[in-house]
Amino acid sequence: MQPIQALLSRPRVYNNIDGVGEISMGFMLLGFLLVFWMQIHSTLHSFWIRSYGFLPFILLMSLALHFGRKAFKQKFTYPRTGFVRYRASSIWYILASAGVTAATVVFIVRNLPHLLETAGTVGFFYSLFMAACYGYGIARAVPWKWLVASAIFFSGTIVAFLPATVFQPLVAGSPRADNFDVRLLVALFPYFLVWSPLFLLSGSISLMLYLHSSQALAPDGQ
Amino acid sequence: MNTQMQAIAELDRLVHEPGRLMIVALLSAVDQADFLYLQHETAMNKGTLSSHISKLEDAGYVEVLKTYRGRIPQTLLSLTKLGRQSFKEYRRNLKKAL
Repeated sequence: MQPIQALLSRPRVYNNIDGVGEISMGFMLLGFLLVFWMQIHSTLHSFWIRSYGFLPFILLMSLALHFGRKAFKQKFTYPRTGFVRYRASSIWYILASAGVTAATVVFIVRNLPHLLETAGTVGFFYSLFMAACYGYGIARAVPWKWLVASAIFFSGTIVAFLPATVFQPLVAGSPRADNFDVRLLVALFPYFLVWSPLFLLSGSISLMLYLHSSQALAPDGQ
Repeated sequence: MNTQMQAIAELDRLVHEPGRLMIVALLSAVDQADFLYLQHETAMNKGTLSSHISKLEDAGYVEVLKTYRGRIPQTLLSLTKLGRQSFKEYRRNLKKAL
């Protein structure tokens, strides 16, 4: 049964065959870094603090990444190794995911002060979770990507246990340095800062290998 | 006849052939895929792949749609309801047989 199981998981693996998924993730983290930076260094009435400021920015960024990825696939991936349309997730899967996400958000919001006090431990588990998700979703199919999963875990763990004073320059000159939400952003900032280049680098290597090992379909079609 | 023997006897021979099993397994995990994708994943040549797809289409397991991507012809394939059901039964029987 194992070879059949492997075949059933092939389409999921195919989704990141060109590394564009990881590159998108890297750019998304960079986008969030920009938002975090602007929020840390903005005044209370700034455009970036208001929901009509940063929410449209995040929406635009998501749309740009979605359509950019789609355009790349249509131009390069589908003519080289074929087109796949994935099955829509079942309603139970969507409901379960929404439930887990909502429960996590509620837990984080209710325990935020405590979580910030124990930032090292939380950061360790956060890094472990990210590395596990990456390992399950991507590295499982491409063995060398376990190096990236390890790098995600170890870099995150190092950040988690660095003394808080290391991140003080991040809030230097911020008019809201003592605000609670700014402290949260400062806590998240270093993780995104170390993980975004990892995603971009790993995705770029996959993309180069993919373009090198495949060629576009001849004009006579299929 | 014991359960295992019966499960072996009930294996769908159309799906059981390795080439067609690969095609059905790959298509069962997606909504739609094109000929090029199947060729890339199964490493079969065009002729062999076409022949297997024709057999699956004749049995009503696979739906074939000929279309164009820009000016380039494209063959889109998807598993029918009957195809999905047959593959599900095939896996169940294979599990029993093993």
